[in-house]
Amino acid sequence: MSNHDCLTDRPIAALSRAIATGELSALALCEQYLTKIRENDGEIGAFLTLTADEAMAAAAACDRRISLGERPAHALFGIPFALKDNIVTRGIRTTCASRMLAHFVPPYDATVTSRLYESGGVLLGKLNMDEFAMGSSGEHSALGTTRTPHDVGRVAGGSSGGPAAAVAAGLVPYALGSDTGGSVRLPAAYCGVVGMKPTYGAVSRYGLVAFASSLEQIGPITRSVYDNALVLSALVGRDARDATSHEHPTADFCAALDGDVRGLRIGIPEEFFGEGCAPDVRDAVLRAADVLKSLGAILVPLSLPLPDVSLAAYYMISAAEASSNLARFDGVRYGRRAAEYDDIESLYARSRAEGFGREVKRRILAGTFALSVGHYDEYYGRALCERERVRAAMTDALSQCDVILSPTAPTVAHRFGERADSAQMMLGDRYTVPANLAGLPALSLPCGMGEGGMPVGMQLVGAPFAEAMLYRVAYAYEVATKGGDVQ
Amino acid sequence: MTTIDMDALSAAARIALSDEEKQEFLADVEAILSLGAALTALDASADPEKAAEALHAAPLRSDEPAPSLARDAILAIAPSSAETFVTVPRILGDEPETEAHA
Repeated sequence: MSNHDCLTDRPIAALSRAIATGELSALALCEQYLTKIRENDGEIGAFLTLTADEAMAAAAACDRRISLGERPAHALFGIPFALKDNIVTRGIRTTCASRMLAHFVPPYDATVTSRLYESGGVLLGKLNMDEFAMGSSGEHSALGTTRTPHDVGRVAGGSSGGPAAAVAAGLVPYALGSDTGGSVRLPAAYCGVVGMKPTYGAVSRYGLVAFASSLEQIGPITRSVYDNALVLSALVGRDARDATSHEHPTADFCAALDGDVRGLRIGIPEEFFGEGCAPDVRDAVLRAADVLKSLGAILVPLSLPLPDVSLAAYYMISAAEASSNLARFDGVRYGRRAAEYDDIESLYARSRAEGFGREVKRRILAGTFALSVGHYDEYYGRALCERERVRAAMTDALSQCDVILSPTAPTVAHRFGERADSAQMMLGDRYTVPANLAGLPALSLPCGMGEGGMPVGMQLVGAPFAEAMLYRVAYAYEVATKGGDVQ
Repeated sequence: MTTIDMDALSAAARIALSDEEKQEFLADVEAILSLGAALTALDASADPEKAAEALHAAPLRSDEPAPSLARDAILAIAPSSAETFVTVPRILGDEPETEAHA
């Protein structure tokens, strides 16, 4: 591979092989990405912090190790990456796209950050998001707007809009986002890339700034299914610092990518294709189902009447957990402190009023109310019951099929300001939240174009720890429709 | 729809709101809670405590001392500190303008 090739178009595995053999310099690769970011990110707005000096030093260190005869132990050695700005990085600003943490420099690394460093990864910077991961469009960042590279007049999706847009624009080979109710999958769909929300507990949440702890997972965003499987392989596993994390039964998610889906049962839940689903999205996803059928998969019609009640349960539970988790931001130990206050209570209240944006305040207030005396059973208690019903319904559906296929979002990416009504915005999450409520793995991958030439995403949901199955189906579709150079 | 006391709610959430903001957020909070109407129509016979128990069945970390962040690292990110303490407004006593150590 020549260093003059357009390296930023290459799959991770190809770059990795070239670095391992000394054919490609990690520093040259890093510099090419940094140049592309400087030339293009002004229009996209994906990066909040660029760590160019640290990245070049890390890449040069990789080259030195190769020149001394080291054989890289991991495929991510020397490969640049970027992180959503709610994943903490020691010595590097972590803002959550909020005025509250605009100058916060964490004293420790998240477990996923450490794992990628240990794999030889080269951190290019931190990426934009909806403030504290609350949003579906990317329009709720306090530090700037991210646009989808497919049409800069449209949103990149949220809350991991920066990671999805950066990967889609070729500014970084892969990025990590976090998914609480669809926040990896929705922007992946809007930007035409691959996004995985792993099984709850598959990836450590230590160092992920908490929004709704019982729902969220960190997941990779990439340009191909194979790349995604490669990155997730480096992330999964038990972490003593996250009591909810588990060992994963699969160590290498690439091993099962053989393109064979013959005999696999693909569930098609009719309620996910009905009212509220745009015709262009529905048609694209059903065409994708037909591709899988042509490869030998069996399509299984399902009834899964979940979208609306799931959405209600999700918003109650996530708002309640947000009101509790974000109580720590009080102007005392870290983050923004109000300039003027009279006593400790006004220090808390004014710091939070100045530091949080409107969407965050809205959810904290709703969550505080849902947890308050006299209303707990009516809102939060019922939401917990509904969550159990969602889990049971998904388990039942997955006893009839190997994966559930649906649209990721009801529409393609909308234009800025088109959904000023927050209730309308929330409907965008209706197909993604069931997987979070049930703790199931879910993958979004591109499946054609819809209105305005915008990408459409299809979602695959599987049983707990069945990420390998999702990758297997997605890879088969990707090879069948893109062919060739996906590794 | 349940009546919402925005004075009490902003105090409980510890977010200072102007009267105008209280009106704006009242509509926002009502919009989120209206989603809960879909839940109130459901059978509520299931036990919320049981549901919560099932959700939080993860094993707890053993309760043993472990290394924590260095004090200097903590103080470096505090909005206000003095000597080896984070400083906050005085909580007890008659001099509210004086900073106290926490």
